[in-house]
Amino acid sequence: MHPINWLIVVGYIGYVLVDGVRRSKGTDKIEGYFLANRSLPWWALGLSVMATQLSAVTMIGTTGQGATDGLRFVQFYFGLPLAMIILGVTLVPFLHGAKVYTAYEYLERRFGPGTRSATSFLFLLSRGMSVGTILAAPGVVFSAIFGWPLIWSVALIGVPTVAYTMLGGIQAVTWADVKQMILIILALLGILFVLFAQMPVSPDEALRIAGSTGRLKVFDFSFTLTEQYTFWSGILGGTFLMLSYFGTDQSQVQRYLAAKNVDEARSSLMISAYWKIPLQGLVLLVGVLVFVYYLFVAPPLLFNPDHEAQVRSADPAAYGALETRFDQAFTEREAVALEVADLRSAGDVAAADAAMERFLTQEAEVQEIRGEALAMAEEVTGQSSRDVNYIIPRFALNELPIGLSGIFIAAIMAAAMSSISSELNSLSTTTIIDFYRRWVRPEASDTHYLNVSKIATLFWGAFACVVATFAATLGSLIEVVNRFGSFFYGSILGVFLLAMVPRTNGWGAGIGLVSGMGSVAYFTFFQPQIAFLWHNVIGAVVVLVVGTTVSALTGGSEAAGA
Amino acid sequence: MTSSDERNEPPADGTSAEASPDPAASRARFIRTLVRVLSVQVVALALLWILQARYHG
Repeated sequence: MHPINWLIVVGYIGYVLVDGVRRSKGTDKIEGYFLANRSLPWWALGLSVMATQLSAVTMIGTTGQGATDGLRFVQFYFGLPLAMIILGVTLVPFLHGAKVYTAYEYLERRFGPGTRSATSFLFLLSRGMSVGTILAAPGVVFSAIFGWPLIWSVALIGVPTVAYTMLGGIQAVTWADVKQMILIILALLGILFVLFAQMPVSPDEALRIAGSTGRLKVFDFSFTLTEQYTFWSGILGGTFLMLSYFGTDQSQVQRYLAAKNVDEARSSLMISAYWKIPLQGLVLLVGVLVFVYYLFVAPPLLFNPDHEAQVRSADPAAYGALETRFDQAFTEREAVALEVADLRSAGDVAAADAAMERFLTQEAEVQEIRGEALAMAEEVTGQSSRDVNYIIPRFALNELPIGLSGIFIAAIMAAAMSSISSELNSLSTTTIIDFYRRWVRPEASDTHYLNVSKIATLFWGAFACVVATFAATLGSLIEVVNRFGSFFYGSILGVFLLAMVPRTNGWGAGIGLVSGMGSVAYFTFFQPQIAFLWHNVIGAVVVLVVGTTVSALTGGSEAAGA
Repeated sequence: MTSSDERNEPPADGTSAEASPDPAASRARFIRTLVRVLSVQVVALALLWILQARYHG
């Protein structure tokens, strides 16, 4: 990478660190450290909520998904605005009004300490592991692209993030998120501009070519439980998923608990309601246009440079032959794509349509050769050869102008850091408030709690770095934990909804939670064809039904306190 | 945005969180926000629909 790009990346890391240390000065009490004295403005919290949700996986994985699969993934977010509105009138006033530090603290008041400990433990288990994978995703890509050991990439992102989160608490996290969100949007808009400017066809023709390959198909109205992304799974399943995430996940709840009042807490969520779908559309559109860009500029046969090197060294003759075929197929596809654009601009629609048919045949040929190369990479490396996460980083490094590449790499780091810092802050909060202060040291000074909170942040940061460093060897374990996490996402939402139903009790919550998780486990293992978005609906509904029934059978709210 | 906004120091009396405003005004403001959110979503979905209708297939 060019020194100017490195300068931008290093400058960004330095700025985040210095700003984090500056913000730590006003944080000398636990309420300031975890909730910023409930005084943060709604717009900063709203941007922080968005930045937390937009991780490096979004920057590299979702853009890559746009390049290979098109815009249809945006349907996943169709339920988000509805979820934000529902939360605005239900859980937000409940939790903010309860003056709690964690969402789970509220459950103790309603159902007793058992429910609080169970839900907060499930949060720590799943989020502790997932923060490692959030760090590992860009770490693995950076390592392959820059040729570094994984531990360097993990340290480059992890160490500054842990430092400013530990020192500055939620103040540093939120204000860093605001700047990181602005950097991410600027980088995406910059890439979009460069893509349109550098392509040899008009934006209209670029979109027409992308559309011909199916990449601009957004809406799928088929009502099937087995298709992952449809309009209906987005609206219904997506609403439940977003309700679970924004309503019960401490990394999100903690944002709006830090607002000045309920109105500001609601308004912070509304920023996501306004902008999430357009932003996600922009992210995917960048990916789609990178696909079109590579119709006119020769892409690598394999985007993962590490796999490319291994395959080339293992069987140079076979890989060389594939590359020759790929170059020829690319040249023919490029010629037909330009012909389509020329015919269309000349007004010869019939000939352009006929040329488009030939373009699609050539496109299929290119993809077939790529498929053979990916299969070869899988055989040689023994790893999954899916290289969707490498498309955009390689494009950014090889094709973007100097300066913008650096901004984009810094934006990927910003996306990772904003998610990781919020997770670390919420993991620390839950550890201290729901376990340490609740069960170990109920009475201690604020200074003591502040110090152990910083130690907890450091612990979770170190844990995340270790998980990320050994991500490859821990692969199956992480998958198991993540899968386990998906069992209770909808179920925990069910417990929170149950808390708003009159005369429900701790027995109902406990048995409902186990039943909800059991139901989702059943569908995961025995009905795997059911798309995962529906699991959240199943989990929440089972908890509600079982919870209210058990509560009624065990004497209603008189039995609370279990 | 001022630096004091960013620092979010608690007020002198130590009660940092503001009391929620009048419920009726709050409800009216929320309904206005709701209408705006839904309007933005309708526009966003309409734009995506136009993109698909014009360029897909």
